[in-house]
Amino acid sequence: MTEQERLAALTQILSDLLGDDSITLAMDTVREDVDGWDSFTYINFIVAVEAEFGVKFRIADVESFPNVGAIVKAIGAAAGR
Amino acid sequence: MLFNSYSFIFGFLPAVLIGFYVLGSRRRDWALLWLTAASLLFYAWWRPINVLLIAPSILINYSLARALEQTGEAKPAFARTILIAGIVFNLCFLGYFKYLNFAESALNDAFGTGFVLTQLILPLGISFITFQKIAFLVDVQAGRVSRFSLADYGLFVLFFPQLIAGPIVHYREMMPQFRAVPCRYDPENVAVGISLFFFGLAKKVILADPMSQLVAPLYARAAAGGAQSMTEAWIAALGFTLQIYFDFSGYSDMALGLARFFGIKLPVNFNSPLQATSIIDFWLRWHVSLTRFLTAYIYNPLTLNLTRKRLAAGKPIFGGRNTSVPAFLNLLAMPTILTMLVSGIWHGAGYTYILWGLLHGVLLCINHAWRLIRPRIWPNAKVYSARMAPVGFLLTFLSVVAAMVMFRAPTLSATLMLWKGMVGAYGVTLPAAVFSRLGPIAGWLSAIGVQPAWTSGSLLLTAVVRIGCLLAIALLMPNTLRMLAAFEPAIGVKPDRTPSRVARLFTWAPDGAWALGLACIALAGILSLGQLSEFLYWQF
Amino acid sequence: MDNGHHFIRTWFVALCALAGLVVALNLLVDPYDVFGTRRIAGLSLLKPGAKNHALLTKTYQEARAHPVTVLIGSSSTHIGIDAAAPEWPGPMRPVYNYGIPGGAGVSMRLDTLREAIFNGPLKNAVVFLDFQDFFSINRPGDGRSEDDRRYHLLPDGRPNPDRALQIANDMFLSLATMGSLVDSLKTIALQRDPTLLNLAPDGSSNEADFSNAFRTDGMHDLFAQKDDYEVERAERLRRSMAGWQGALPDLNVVRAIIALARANHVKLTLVLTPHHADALEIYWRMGLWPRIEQLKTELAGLVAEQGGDVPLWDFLNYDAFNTEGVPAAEDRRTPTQWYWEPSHFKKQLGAIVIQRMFGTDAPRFGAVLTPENVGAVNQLVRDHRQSRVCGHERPALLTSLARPLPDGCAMPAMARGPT
Repeated sequence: MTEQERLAALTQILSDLLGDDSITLAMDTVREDVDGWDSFTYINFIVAVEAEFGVKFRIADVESFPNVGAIVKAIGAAAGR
Repeated sequence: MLFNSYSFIFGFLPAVLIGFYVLGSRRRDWALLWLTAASLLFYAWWRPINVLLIAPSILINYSLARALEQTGEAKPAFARTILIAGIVFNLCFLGYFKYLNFAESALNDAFGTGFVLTQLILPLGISFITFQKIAFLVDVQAGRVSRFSLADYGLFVLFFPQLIAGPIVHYREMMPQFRAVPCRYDPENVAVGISLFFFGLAKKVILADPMSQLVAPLYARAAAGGAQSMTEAWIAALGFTLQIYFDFSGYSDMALGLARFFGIKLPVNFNSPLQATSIIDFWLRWHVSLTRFLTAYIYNPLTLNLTRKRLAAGKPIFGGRNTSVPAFLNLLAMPTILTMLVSGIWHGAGYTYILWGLLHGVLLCINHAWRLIRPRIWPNAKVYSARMAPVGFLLTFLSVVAAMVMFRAPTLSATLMLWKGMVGAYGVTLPAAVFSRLGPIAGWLSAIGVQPAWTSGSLLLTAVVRIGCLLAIALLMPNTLRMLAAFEPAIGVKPDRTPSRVARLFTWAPDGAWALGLACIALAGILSLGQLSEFLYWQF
Repeated sequence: MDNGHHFIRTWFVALCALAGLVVALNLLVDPYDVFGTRRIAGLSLLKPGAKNHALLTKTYQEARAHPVTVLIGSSSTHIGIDAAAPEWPGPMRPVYNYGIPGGAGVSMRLDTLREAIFNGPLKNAVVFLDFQDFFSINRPGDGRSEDDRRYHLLPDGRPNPDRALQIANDMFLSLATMGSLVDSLKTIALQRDPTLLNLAPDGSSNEADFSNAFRTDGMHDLFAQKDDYEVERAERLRRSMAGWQGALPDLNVVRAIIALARANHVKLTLVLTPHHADALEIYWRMGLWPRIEQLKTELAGLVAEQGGDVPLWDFLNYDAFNTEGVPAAEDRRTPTQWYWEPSHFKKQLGAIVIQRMFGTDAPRFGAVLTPENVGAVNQLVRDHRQSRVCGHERPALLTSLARPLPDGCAMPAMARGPT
C-alpha cells in the first residue's frame, strides 16, 4: 500500500466520522485545518485507523503526531515491523 | 503576590527583569537560576510556609522522574509502579491542600470575604502545579521527555508567569524554549509583553472586578434563601459569566505577557469562548490548556483502551454516523462525562463544582450525539453550519451562562433559586424609579405581569450598561491573540490569512499610536489597582 | 527591533506624562477636599465626589476649619443641620458639621469628638444621638478600620502610630486612582448643574440628592422606600434586643463623651435626633417603644450623675412637625415642609432645632430631659401619640404602615411601661 492510498483511506475514515464528504487530507494537514476535527473526535479517528490497518500506536505517539503525514508514516512503520 | 498589585508591578517585576537581563548578558544559566529564585520568592510572598511544602514535592517528583528515566523501557512493570506511585503522591498532595483550603474558604464565606480571586485563583496554584507534575511524570515514562536536570525541572514547575493560574504547560513545549532563549533584553519581546500584560490587567481590574462587586450581593442573597426576580437573576448569571471570563482571560493575557518579557511563549488559554457555536467549540476556546491536559491524560488513554477492548471483544466500535447506541454510550458518553467530572472536582471542593462538571459532560454528549445524527437529517454540512450557527451560538451561550450560576452559587439550593428566578418563577420586577419614568409603557408592562419594586434604579442601569459593554467586547471584538497574531503572542498563533475589517482595525503594531493607546490602557489599569473605601449611603 | 525600542520609549514617556497629568488634575480639583486646594469657581467650587467619602473628607476639613463649635452625628446631622445657619449665636461660630453619612454607632461620635478636640480650638460640641444606635447588641469586630487609623489619637489618648501611613495612603489614593480621576472629571463637568450635591468647607451638605429624588419620584416614594428599610432595621434591632436585661449597651460611650468634653473644657449638648412620626410609629408597633423610653430615662440619669451641666435635648415626640402628612403616591408635585423621609429632617426644621436649643423665641418643641421630668415626658409622648395619630381622622400620614408588619408585632404594646 502506498502512502497515497493510506492517505485516501484516512480521508475516508475521517469523512465518515465527521459526516462531511468534502474533507480532503494532505500529508501536511493539521487538526486545526479541518472543521470539527477536535480532540474528542481525534481519538476515535485513531482507533478507527488502528482497526482499519491492524496496527497499534503508543499513546505517547498518539499525543504527538504533528500532522496527517506523521500518522501515515507511523502506519507504514508499524505495518513494516 | 498577585499580578494586579502595586508590589508586583512596581517592585517585583522591574527588579526581576533588570536582574535577568543583566545576568543574561554575562551567563545564560545565571539568568535562568535568577528566574527560578525569583519565582520561588513570588510563590513565598503570599505565605512563606508554602515554599517548605512545594520544595519537597519538587524534589520527590524529580527523584521519581529520574528513576523512571533510568528504568526506561527495560523494566516496563517497574516503571509503571513508579509512575502510579508518583500520580498517587501528587493527587494526595492536591487533595490535602484542597481540603484545607475548603475549610478556609468556608471561613471566608462566613465572614463574607469570599471572592473569586481567593477562592479560585490562588488555590488553583496548587491544582495547576499538580497537573503539570503529573503530566511530566507521564511524559517521562512515555519517553517523550529526556535529558533534564533539577534546575530545568525547578524552573519548569516554578516559572512564575504561569505558576498560580496557568496556562497548564507541558515540559516538552517549555524546556526547548528555556534552552534556546538568549536571556537578553529584546525590544520586540518587551513591547509585546507590555501590551499583553496591560491588556490583561485592564481586563481584570477594569472589566472583571467591578462586575464582581455588582453580582456578589445577588449571590449572597440567593444563598441566604432570598428569591430573585427575573431581572436580578439574569444580572447575576450574565454578570458572573462575564466577570469570570474577563478575570481569567485577563489573568491568562498577563501570564502570556510576563513570559514574553523573558522571551518565552506560553500556550493559548482563551480564544473568545463566548463566541462559540457549540459546547464542543466552547471547550476548545475556554481554558484551552486545561481541556488539552484532560484530553491528553484522561480522555484519550481511557477512550483508546476502551475502544481497543471493545474491538478485541468483537463488539461494534465507534463508526461515525453508523455508531450504535451502546458504542456511543461506552466509548464517548462515559469517558466524556468522567473527564468533565474530574474537571469539576479539580475546579473546587464542593458539590456545585462536581455537578457543574457533570452538567458540561452531559451537554458535550448531547453535542456529540447531534453531530452523529445531524447528517442523517440535514446532509448538507455547509448549508447547515451557515444557517444554524446563530442558533448554535445562542444555545451554547445560554447553556454556559446557566451552568456558570452553579459555578458561582455557594450552594445547590442557591443555584436552583437563581435558575427559577431566571425563568421567571419569582416574577419580573423593575425598580419603581424606572417604572415611573416609563410612562404608558409601564401600563403595558403591568399588563404582562411586570411589577415595580423598591430596588435601586441607578444600580439596575449600571448593571445593564456594564453587562452590555462587556458582552459587546467579548462577542464582537477580536481578542488579544488575534490583535497580536503577527507576533505569535502564544505558541502556534498565526495571523489570519484574510482578516476582516474590524480585525485589521485592531491589529497591533509596535508603532506610536499603539504605544499611546497602551499607555492609556496601562494607566487606567494601574489607577484601578487601588481605591478609596467608599460609603454609598443613598442609591436611588 | 528599532520599532520595539521606539514603542517602549513612547509608551513609557506617555505613561509617565499621563500619570503626571492625572495627579496634577486631582490635586487641582481636589474632589474629596483632602488637600484643601483653593476652590475655583467653575472648576472645583462644588464637591460632589466627596459625598461617598464623607469620613475621609470631613476629617481633613475639620482639621483645617478650626471651629469653635462642632456638630457630631450621622447623616441626618450632615444633611439637616446647616453650620452656616443664621440661627447660630455669634459666640458659637464658626461651626463645623462633622456629621458622617452612614456613620452608625455611638463610638464613632466619641472618635470624631476626640479628633475635633485634638484639632482645637473647640469650645462647644453638639452631639446628635440616633436612638437606633443604642439597640444594637452585635458589635462590629473590634479591628480598627481604615477610618480609625486616620485619627490623631488612639481611644486611650495616646498618639496613633498608624496615622502617618494612613495619611500617605489617603494622599496616594486620592491622587492616583481611577475613582478620584472620575470624581475630578465629574466635579468639573457638573459645576454648572444647579441640582448638584455639594459638601461645603464647613462640612454642611446641600440637600440635592433628596430634592432630585423628590423631583423625579415624589415624596411618597421617598417615604415608602425608607419606611421599608426602617421596618427591616427595626425587626433586626428587635431581635437583637430580645431578652436584653439591664442598662442599654452603649450608655458607657455616652459617659465617655461627657467625660472627654469636661476634661477639655468643651461645653457639650446632647440631642436625641428628631425623626418623622413614620419612623417612630414603626418602632412603636414593633414593640420597641418601651426601649426608647428606657433610653430616655437612662440617658437623663446618666447626665444627672455626671453633674447635670450637660443639657440633654429630646426631640423624639409626636409633634406638629413630624406628624406632617405625606402626599399620596400619585402626587409627585407636593413637597413636604419638614422631613425628606422618616429619618432625615430638612434644614428648615434643623434651623428650628438650633434656635430652640441656643436661641430665643423658638416654638415649644422638644424638651430638656432630667431624671425628674423624664417620666412625665414619656407619658406626654404617649398622650401626643394618642391624640395626633390614633385619634386622628385620617391616620394615614404613614404611608407604608397600612401593610402588616412582621409577625409578632401586629399591634401596639401600649400597655407595657418601661422595663
